[in-house]
Amino acid sequence: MTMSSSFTRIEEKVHAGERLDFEDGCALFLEPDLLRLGSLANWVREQRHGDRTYFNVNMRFEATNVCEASCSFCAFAKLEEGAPEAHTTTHEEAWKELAEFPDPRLSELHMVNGLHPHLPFEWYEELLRGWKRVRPAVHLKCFTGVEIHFFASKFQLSYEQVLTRLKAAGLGSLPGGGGEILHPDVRRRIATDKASGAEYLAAHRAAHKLGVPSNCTMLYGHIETFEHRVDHLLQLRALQDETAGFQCFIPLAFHNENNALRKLPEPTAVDSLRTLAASRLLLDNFEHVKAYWVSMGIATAQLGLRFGADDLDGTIIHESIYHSAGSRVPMALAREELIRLIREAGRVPVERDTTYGVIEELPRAVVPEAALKVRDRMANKRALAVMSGS
Amino acid sequence: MGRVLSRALEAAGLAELAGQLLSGDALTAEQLVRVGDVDLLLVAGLADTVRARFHGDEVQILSSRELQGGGRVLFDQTVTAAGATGAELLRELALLRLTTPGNVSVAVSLETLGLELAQTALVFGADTLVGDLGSSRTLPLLDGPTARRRELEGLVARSGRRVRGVTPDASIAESAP
Repeated sequence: MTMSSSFTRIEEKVHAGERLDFEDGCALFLEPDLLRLGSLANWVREQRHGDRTYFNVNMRFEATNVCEASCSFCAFAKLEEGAPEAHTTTHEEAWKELAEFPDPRLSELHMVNGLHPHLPFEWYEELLRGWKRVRPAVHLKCFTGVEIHFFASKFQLSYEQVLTRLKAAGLGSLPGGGGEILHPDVRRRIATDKASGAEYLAAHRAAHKLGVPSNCTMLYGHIETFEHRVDHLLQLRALQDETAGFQCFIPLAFHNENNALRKLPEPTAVDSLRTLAASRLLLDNFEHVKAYWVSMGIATAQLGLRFGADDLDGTIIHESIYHSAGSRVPMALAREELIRLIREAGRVPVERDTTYGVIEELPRAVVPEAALKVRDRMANKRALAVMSGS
Repeated sequence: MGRVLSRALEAAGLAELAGQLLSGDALTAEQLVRVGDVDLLLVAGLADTVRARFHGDEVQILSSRELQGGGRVLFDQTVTAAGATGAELLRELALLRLTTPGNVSVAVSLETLGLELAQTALVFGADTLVGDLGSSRTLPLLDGPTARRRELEGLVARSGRRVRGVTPDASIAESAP
């Protein structure tokens, strides 16, 4: 079957509501016509959400970058306390940062940490409790599946015990980080000394069973193949079939600065758009697919809203993990800027909380007079300085 | 053009414009009114169809000096408001493709658009990249014009296209390493 006829078959399956399989997934990544792929993903996205596009007002927090794992793609972790740039916050610093966060609209604190070899489990519980004391309405989206696995191993607890205690301390949901690539052939080469793919999924399964929703991710564009990406997505889809606990999928673009994979090129904008679209089409049981602007860049994330994504993430405020690896996007985006990006992509901005409850649905952009736009365009076109052969 | 795009064109009442564009004629100002605010991917689909029909999959990389050749128009992003977002810029680029005769090339500047958007521009109607390969601003990752040119060829290959005069390199032809 040629690529084009293969894609025609995929289009038919999608329109008929049939599930795509592994072979279809590989064909999505190999489809040369990016706009055709994007249009199909956009159709699915609009069937689910119309023009509604979600964002939130959130802040990032990293309590410690000390980490006993040595993932080859990571530029954030420091192996031990006392190493240059190693940092572990105090409870007081962490609570103060949240208490003094100036925006009353803040609805989420998103924390991801290194796997600190010495902090006791009670330290994390107290961190959450303190945050709940100073700002009880803020949702705590904290600890990746990898961290949950680390706590269980280190403190001789089951996933259920870890999660039950953290939930009692204020945990609301788990972020999706740490998924990387689930396939063992890749994972053993880039993330050998932390949770395996199966353990990452097991931690999320346990969370879902306790009523703790979570997100999930895929780090793409390094040593993996398209087949590994499809395998990863299908593993996530299978768990979602079982638990329905994932809220959102977030593809994360590999960055190549200050890490052991620095000789690899980073994924391009076209690859990011292709990955978003393929994810939207394969993950037929996921309500949301996010174009995370910190990971793929602001311009590509905005375009992603036409390639299957329905969420831009949030204001972030001080992200360290991607910026350590060379991300050149700002540390934060103002709420107004997120709204502008969504509107100028022709979408309707919806401010949400972490679990996709609607806080405010904003009006779509006012469309300027088409005739005026055309007149401007034609005038500008005539004024182009470089116009050869005309 | 895929089924979704074809259907969307029909639904928007724009199907007959595709025939006109594929015969090489640019849209008139009146027709531009009709497509100016339709879905971004629809405009892009039309522009990309024209690009493929008249310029194929080859991408030219030119210096600013070489641009003064003939049969080309350079996308001028000042047609958009200051601080325009990527989606706005690419819409204007696609509209430039549609209002330019099919046989005229559409070029984008690496300097002003940046690598990220310039690569994406190749699926929104552009067939030529213009930039100074000696400029560190253009291609920050590698040193030297030769390395920068190779980096650029890789970006083009990863968008599913090939640089004119360059034999495709299997190692960079797709984004899966």
